[in-house]
Amino acid sequence: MKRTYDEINEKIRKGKAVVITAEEAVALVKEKGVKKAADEVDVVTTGTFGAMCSSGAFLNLGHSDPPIRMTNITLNGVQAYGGLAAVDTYIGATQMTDKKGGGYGGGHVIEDLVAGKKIHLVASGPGTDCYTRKNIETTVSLNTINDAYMYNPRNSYQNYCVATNSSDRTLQTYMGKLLPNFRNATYSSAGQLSPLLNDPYLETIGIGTRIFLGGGEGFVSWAGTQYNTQASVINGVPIGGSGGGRTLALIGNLRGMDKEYVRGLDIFGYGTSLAVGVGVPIPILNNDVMKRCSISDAEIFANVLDYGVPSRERPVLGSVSYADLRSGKIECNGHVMRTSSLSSYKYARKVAEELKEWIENDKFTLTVPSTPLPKEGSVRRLR
Amino acid sequence: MTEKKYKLRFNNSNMHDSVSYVLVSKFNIMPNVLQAKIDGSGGRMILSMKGDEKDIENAISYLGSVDISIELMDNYVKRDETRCIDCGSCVSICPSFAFEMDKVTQDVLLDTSKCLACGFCISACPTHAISLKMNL
Ligand code: SF4
Ligand code: SF4
Repeated sequence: MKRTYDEINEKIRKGKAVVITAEEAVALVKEKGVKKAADEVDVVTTGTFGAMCSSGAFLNLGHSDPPIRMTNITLNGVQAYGGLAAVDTYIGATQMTDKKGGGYGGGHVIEDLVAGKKIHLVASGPGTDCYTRKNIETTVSLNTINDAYMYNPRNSYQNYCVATNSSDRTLQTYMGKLLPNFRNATYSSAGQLSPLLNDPYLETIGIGTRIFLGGGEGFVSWAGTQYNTQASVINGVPIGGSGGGRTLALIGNLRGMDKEYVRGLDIFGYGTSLAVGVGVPIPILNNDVMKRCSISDAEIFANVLDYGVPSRERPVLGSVSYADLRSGKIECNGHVMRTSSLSSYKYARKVAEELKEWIENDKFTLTVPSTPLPKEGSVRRLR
Repeated sequence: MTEKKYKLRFNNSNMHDSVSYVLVSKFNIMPNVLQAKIDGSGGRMILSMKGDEKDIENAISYLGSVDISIELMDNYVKRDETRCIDCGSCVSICPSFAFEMDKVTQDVLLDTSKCLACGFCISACPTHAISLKMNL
């Protein structure tokens, strides 16, 4: 079976495209086999929703009169970058408020912008002959500023590790609370619904692929930072925590996003972040693509790493499947651990369902990538 | 046999009473002290009582008669459902298994009657969805 992007888009326009989620693909292929499923299905939608720390937004705040070249900028008390042109800035998800109590950061500013809330802007600059003003304090919102687009240097990790803790004290990590003596283990992946686990070699996802981003439309803009193809593979997909995985850099207009899918997070003891809903449509171009989309949680594995050892190379205790992790309890290396997800499977499902609905109703067509993402990539160490 | 959790407050005159002993010997109750704090003005205790409905009732009226204030604990924490994203960060850290991931809907369910008032989930929740409803 072979199908082209054009054929798929033609069917979408006619309202005849058959679209299923990656979760439904598991069941369909099990029932009918790869060939029949590929004959029937045009598009499989994926989804993920979790903390994506390497996220942020470019804003152009507009010029005041007299104008100012802003070099120190805060939005609701959160520092934004002051090293771009006069009123351009970038607000990053993990930048935290200096205010006592904390709990609020760049991720929350972005959530508030998307929600249409008013944001308190305080900025200062050197004052120059062309930008005479030195200080400004005012209120802005998504409607008042010129531009606002999300640009996330690294999202949608292909797979990630499972974290546990051998030490005798509770650790507060970006992987959540890790109780002493292996009492719990945390993980963060949408597994069988996750975009890059359904197209693990990026045969259909590339630069320019149109996606669901934060409830609006976005695009794959580049390979994500720390893009890595060296991880160990099992059942055709990388094992989480075995040396990274592929990642995506994503871009999309904040206008049109939905605050439901753009949430500021405060991870206790670590800092702030942003949860973003990301959904990628996978065109069923041939049987192989269909087969890869049918991977299930029982076939996707992640290494259990001991965060109780404060080293870059954390000891691997073993590896477990996402089916095991979702059961609420795993046994690894002689320890029974309760498990918690950090990313929301429910919202990942909502993303995939919503994207499916868009495509079924001709609100979203597929794009042919302009350039494929790298076949090879590895990460370098900082020495 | 039921199990219920209560918040007890002692004052200077009754803080030396051995509550657990009386509950066991007179009311046939299996007590379990989940938390206890004593300070200058008395103390407070989170106590679980296991036993017959009737015995628990009698025990409560006894505690009242010796001037220990007692309050049923089934709502120490509350959750703002509009903030909760069903991530699951609270699930494995709760010592009383009050949170449960529904395997079908993938909703994170909260049964406040199981809560032991440890407070772990409040900081574990990245969206600040969980807060105190009852002060200890
Ligand atoms: S306060 Fe403690 S016992 Fe109660 S629900 Fe939260 S984690 Fe569980
Ligand atoms: S940690 Fe907070 S947001 Fe996550 S499931 Fe629990 S209550 Fe909901």
